[in-house]
Amino acid sequence: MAPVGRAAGAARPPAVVWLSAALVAAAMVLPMVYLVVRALGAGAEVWELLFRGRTLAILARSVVLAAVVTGASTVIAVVLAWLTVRTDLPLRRWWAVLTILPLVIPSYVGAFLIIVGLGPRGMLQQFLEGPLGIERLPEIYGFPGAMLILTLLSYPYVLLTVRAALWRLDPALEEASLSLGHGAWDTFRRVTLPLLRPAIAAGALLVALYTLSDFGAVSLLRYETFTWAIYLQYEAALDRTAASALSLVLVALALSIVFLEATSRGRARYHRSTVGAVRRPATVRLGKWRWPALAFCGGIALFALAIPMAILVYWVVRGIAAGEALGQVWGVALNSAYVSGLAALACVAAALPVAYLSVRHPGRISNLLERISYMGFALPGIVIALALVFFGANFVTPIYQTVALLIFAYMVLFLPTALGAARASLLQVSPRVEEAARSLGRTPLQTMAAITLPLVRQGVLSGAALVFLVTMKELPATLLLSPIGFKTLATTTWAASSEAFFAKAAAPALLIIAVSSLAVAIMSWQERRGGSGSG
Amino acid sequence: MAPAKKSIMVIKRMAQEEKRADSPPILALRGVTRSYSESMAVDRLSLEVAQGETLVILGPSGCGKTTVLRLIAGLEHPDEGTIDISGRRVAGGREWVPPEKRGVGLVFQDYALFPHLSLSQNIAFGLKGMKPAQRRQRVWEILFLVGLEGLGERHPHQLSGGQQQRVALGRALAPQPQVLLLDEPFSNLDTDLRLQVREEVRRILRTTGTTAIFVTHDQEEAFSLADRLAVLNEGRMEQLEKPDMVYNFPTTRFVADFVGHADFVTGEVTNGSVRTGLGAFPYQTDLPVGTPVEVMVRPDNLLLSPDPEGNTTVVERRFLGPFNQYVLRLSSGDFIHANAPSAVVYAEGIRLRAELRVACLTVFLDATASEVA
Repeated sequence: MAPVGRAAGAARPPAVVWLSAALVAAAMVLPMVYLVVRALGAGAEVWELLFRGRTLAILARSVVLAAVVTGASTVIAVVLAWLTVRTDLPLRRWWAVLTILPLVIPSYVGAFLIIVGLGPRGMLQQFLEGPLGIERLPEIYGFPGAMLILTLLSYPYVLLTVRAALWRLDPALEEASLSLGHGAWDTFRRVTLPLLRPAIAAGALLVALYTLSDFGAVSLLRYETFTWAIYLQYEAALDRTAASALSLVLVALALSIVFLEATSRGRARYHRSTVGAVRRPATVRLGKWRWPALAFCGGIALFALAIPMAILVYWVVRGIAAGEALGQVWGVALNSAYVSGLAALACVAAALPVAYLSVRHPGRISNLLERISYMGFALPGIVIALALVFFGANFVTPIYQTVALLIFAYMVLFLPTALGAARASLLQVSPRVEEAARSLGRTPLQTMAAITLPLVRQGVLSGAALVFLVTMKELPATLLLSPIGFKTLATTTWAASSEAFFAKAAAPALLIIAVSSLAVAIMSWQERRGGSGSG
Repeated sequence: MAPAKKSIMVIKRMAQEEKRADSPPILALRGVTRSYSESMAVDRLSLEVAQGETLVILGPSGCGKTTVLRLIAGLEHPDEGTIDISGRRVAGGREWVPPEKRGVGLVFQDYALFPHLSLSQNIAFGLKGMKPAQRRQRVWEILFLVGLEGLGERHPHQLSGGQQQRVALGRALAPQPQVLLLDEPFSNLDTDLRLQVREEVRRILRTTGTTAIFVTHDQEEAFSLADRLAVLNEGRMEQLEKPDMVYNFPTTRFVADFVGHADFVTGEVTNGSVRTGLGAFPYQTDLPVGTPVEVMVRPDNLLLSPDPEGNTTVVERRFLGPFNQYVLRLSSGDFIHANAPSAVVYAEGIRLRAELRVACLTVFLDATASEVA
């Protein structure tokens, strides 16, 4: 039947799989292609828009914010990682958990809390006014607030990758350096730090992309970076060319950061040089340095976690006391759960064929399909949303302003999450097991149904749960694409805080944080499972 | 280069061996080639397997032996050549039969048991078109055959390595395949267990009269299981014969070297004999007088006796338990290994007489010399 082929894999995958994977990839590129076509279609006008002073100012603000947040996050994270992995810091395990947790606070909740706490007539000012008569605090709106809150909420991304790398580090390399006459500090600088570089770069990439695509914090703190500018342009002007042009610059910026990270990895290979049992490196004794170390960990945990949570709980209580209707929150939460559930289903359905192809039939085409499917990782939500608004309004009017288009946007954004989980669990299923089923008389599709799917079910389900939870937090796409009158937890929190109804924003914000905490728990569970090897 | 590697005398004998097919073969590969982008995995391989026969494919790792099994099972497409099972073309030309329709059983190195199914479900997996009662009966038979009766409800992770091995075998045998392929089936077992399971598997294959192809890199395993032994090197068939023939009369230098330990002493063709550092041996050949050759010497084919005028000197003695192995230097400068009972000890530096005791001399053209020429 099939002609003799020289492809790496032996048997070809069923046509159904190829077709659906190709369809998924096509769906992924659709918004971007449309945006490019539309922006370029506008002709000379676009170039004018792009090179005027305001665009350059936005570009400068975005780049500076991303650079400062990434730099500050990296410094905080490397110090915290080293303290919690390699030293005898008191209560080390507790700090390890506490310093990761700010991850669960979405940026718009963080921004809302910083405004409530540090803003004009905020809690701190009122607290200080009585005894000290202070009537003005330094301005929190704009760069200072955005930088502060984004750093405090995003350093855990670097902390996670650097901690993992520190655990994996081969102690023999440091011991070799010591034996060659380099002191502890010299060894850290010349051996440990270079070895951590790939992990730092990977984490920094996440932070930079997070900052660039963040909409919640910069919109609430009125700092005009790309995302906020795009939204203003979209809200204000009926001419959408300007918004498209800004979106393209933002995408170009995001992609160049991804490219920068990829090239910075360089040609060096990092792996353990010794075989055999994993050995723990020696623990560094902090001595009297443990007091400043404790103060540092405590300070970070206090400002990034304890104070924000305390403020939030205070406002929830205050809201209830003031008779804020909690009943409404449940209806909104139900909306959130509904679209998030659909998004999880869509992402898993789209991820399975792509993951299967890339794991079982690696080749030029399947690799390309996989890369394309990871695109949503680098694309800011507001850009996807904007492209789909235009596309929906012009070409698929029946689904414009419906939940379907919103789900499609979620799929583009969160397919990478589902794909990662599906790939990881597929990689744990030995192809020999599938081949055994073939040799026992099952066709490829029967094999998938009887063997592959049951074996990857658990991993795929946890991927789906993760998509569900990150969709709950998503703000810009939900804001732009929700049907009129359709409110979710994220949009309610954002709308209430942008209008300074803080008591109204608090309850949905607390619910979102509860949900995000679940997501983090699932992620760490997945990591442990992935780390335990094939089983 | 190619003729230089062949043993001169045995080439003639090979032609006779080829004609052994009296019953039609159940499996036939002809000119099968499979290459990957970077290398040739299987190179123009031809072989036939008769009904009920056990063929063992032996070779170093990376010689393409696993690829041969995968080609037969239909998990790989050959680039060239044909594969027939029971007279039906399953691969080659425009023909292609997918693995599920070939009736070929597979036992994998890592067993590849379905982790989410019980033993009974694993074994029943390949039983299709049977009534439930029939299927239960067959599963019971198989569990009994492999000695796991009563464990049908367990899951694979609850079994020991040896038990998993037997389930893998039972699962492959349950649909009564025409050919059973086993890929290094014992390599994941401890040495003690390996011997026991090997005998067990041999018994089961004999009882069921199954035609089987084993792949292994373990010589002892190959010798003990094989009706016929195929030695594979870099995707090419080096020799395909009964195990003792392969050991005693290797047709190529690679086989001589890989199967058992062998040294090669340099020599020269004279009139009606070959002269070497071990002495002259009668040898009939068409090669011209003076041709440089090498004679295969196995450590256990040498008889040592003390002799101050002897042809060798002891360089080193290694105590290996039941025997001593000596490294000897010939007056010609060649080094050879010889085994002798450990009761007698020859000190280093002592001169010995070493006599080569073989029924038939194995002679190769001197590879280095012929390349120069």
